[in-house]
Amino acid sequence: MLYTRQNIAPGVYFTPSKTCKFKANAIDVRFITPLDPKTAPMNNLVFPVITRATEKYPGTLEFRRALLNLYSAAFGDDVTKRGDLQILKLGSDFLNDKFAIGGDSILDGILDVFDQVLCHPLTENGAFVKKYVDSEKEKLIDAERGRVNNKGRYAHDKCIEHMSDGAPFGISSNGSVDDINAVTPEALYEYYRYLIDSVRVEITAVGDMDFDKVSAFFARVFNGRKSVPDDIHTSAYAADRTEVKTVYEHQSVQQGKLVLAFSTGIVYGDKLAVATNVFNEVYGSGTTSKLFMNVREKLSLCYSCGSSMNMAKGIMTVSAGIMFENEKKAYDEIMLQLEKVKNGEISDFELDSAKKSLIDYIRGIYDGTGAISGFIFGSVMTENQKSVDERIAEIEAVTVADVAEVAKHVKLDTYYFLCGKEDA
Amino acid sequence: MMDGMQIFENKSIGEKYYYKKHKSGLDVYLIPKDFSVKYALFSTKYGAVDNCFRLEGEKDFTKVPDGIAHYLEHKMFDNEDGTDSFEKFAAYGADANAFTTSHMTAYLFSCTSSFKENLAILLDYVTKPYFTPQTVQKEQGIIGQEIKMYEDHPGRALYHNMLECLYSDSQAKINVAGTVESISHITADLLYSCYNTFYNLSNMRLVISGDVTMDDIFSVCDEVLPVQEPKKIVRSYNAEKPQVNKTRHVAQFEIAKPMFIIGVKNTDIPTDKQEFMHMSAAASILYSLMFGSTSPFAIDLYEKGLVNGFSASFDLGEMASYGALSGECADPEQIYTMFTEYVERVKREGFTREDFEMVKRSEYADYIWKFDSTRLPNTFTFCMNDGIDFINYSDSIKSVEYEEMLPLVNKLFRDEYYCMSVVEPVKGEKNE
Repeated sequence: MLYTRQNIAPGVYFTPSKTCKFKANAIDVRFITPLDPKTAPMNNLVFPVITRATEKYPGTLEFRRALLNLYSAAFGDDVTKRGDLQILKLGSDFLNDKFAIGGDSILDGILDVFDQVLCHPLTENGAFVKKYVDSEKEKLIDAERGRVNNKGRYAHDKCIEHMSDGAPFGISSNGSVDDINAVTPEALYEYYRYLIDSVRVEITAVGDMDFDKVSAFFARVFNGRKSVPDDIHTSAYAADRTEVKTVYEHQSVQQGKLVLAFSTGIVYGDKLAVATNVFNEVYGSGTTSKLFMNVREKLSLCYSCGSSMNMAKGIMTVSAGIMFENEKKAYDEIMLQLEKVKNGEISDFELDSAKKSLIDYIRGIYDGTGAISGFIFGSVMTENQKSVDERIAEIEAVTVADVAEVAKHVKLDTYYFLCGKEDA
Repeated sequence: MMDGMQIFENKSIGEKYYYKKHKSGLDVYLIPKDFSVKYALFSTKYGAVDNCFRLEGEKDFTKVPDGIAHYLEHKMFDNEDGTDSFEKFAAYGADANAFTTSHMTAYLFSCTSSFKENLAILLDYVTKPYFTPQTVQKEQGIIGQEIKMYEDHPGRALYHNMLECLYSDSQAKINVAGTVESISHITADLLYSCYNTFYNLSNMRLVISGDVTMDDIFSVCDEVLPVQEPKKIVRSYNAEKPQVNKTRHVAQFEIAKPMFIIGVKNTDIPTDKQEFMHMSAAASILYSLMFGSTSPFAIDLYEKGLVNGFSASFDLGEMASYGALSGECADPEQIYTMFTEYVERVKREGFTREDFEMVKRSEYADYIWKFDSTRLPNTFTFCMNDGIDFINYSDSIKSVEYEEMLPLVNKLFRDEYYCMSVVEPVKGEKNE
């Protein structure tokens, strides 16, 4: 069995992973919420607001000093989309107690910080403090507007947004400016109570620490819970478009960003899931993929061109940074290479190196606490108890026919090009 | 234990490395780690700043176009038999890459198996250049698009424009990738000239981490590396005045909110290695005290909501050194004024000993932390190029005294050392 997961409170699960090769430990608390335009801003706001002021740390200075005094421990939140879900992670990386001077316990200090943040936020009139909520809202609005700064990521996100036709999986993880503005201190406090009382929580602890202490601590944090419904799920993108949706966006940029979104219909746990990872390597991920070897190396059309697979939603994107006038050439080559995979035109070398690359990646997971935590969480979410060796064997068993079969599921859905300003 | 091998150890944190010079002239380092991942970084002390050089004994200096070190890095992956080195690594599942900075060019791989085979590939392709006019031409389009990608990147422009402000003549301001124009002058002959000067094994280093032995490494070195006569490289670096070149640079991009970097120039770079390490540690503690997460300056900016993503750092290199404070804000000039007023206040009021001790301890913790990385050779190589032995760097941190802080503020912070680079939204237009 890959992991031992304990149910420590209704809807709260604790998964420890012991390893002694690191100087630092990691504890991550993940709240699993539905991806929703109204709650996305609240996922992003709740912990930044709380860390502005708790009962013991009444200001940012006190909070940050506490972490610095805990041997520069890191503590913070991270919000990501996973298909139709949004995962809110509150995590800490902290040095092992053996590096503490004079027998201090860094772990005790970290659990105390979690206690403050999860159980003792500062409130006024039964809500969060308005000035902190307003201040964090402004920061989040800046972050949402600032998405345009990184052209590559912006183009990718815009393509998915157009693909989604308004479905939740296409929204910005920050939420929209209007939805951010609409958050009130009362609503945010209510949402915080909902997270603590009613949302499924997955906790991982990786490293060398007293796991019983950690598990008992979180059992206490969540002990007021009643039963939590297990009704939040993600599903594959429903590809029912009859013709490709095409979108051109104009900005004053030097380079065009072509992003193609495809439906695959293949999600974690499907029969073709492992072959889909191999397909992605063969087709567009890494320096021996067909896209790199042809769009970049053979035709010199770009510096970056690659595919990425979103298996929580059953979609794939291909992105390329190109000169505006090379749009058609790049598109043709991207589609031609996909056609080749469909036809099974995959050399032994391509298949073999794709598998080796995936295997190498899996073997390296246990070399970082963050990677271990992410791997365990991913395995929990997909209910995959297979060991590293079993997963390697699955990859090795993939054939050219399997990869070609995956390619046959790949269908172009949305065509997006971020290009220069049209002549005014 | 291998003959002539030296061990350098930091017992208090349980880390060490092995060193031995290979007969080819190459310095070889191994940081043993209990990781599945084995990581190798093969680097030459040659970067964007090295645009004017000669070998000892040669009369004339060779002057080369901006961006050539980076161009050379791209072209090293082509082999005479028409293969690409990425393909060779892929046959063993290794993840290979390369990068160029102002001061070095590095080639690397990470793998969990077939370590010796991968190391042989790395040492082989980096020591066997093959350039033709056709292969050099092919890269113009690819690197041209890499440059265009950077030109759309406001953060890169911001940083590069800060270097323009800081330096009048120093090569430290050269853009690593060059420009579309400068790279158009690169030829196969020029690439060979750079290669033959800087890719001599006596100017290179091999640093490896993971669960391997020096015997493994040396057996591959013996097999692959040619024995080379050391070469003495004469690099011509332009002199640089202590004052900044210009105080402001403002550029426009299609972004949402202005971004800024305040640059603080430092031309007082110690030549003695111990002093250099000490200054590096002292200035980094000072920057954390003055601008770190718990500093009055950072807290003030955060609580007033004036700056998003504020960060500060100090960089000390052999030829260039500066501090940088950056973030996103509505009014960069306001932040600049707050910065200059704050520095003067610090000069008057100083720091508390308690704050100093807290920050110093956190610097030490950050140092220990770095040993959890599977990419330790990067940190070690960056440090070694500046003459810092990373394994002992904790001693430098420990040696920094409270009493040094205020004199250091007075030395590093003066009006004539300051500049600011700003990137602001394109005027008169709105994003849709």
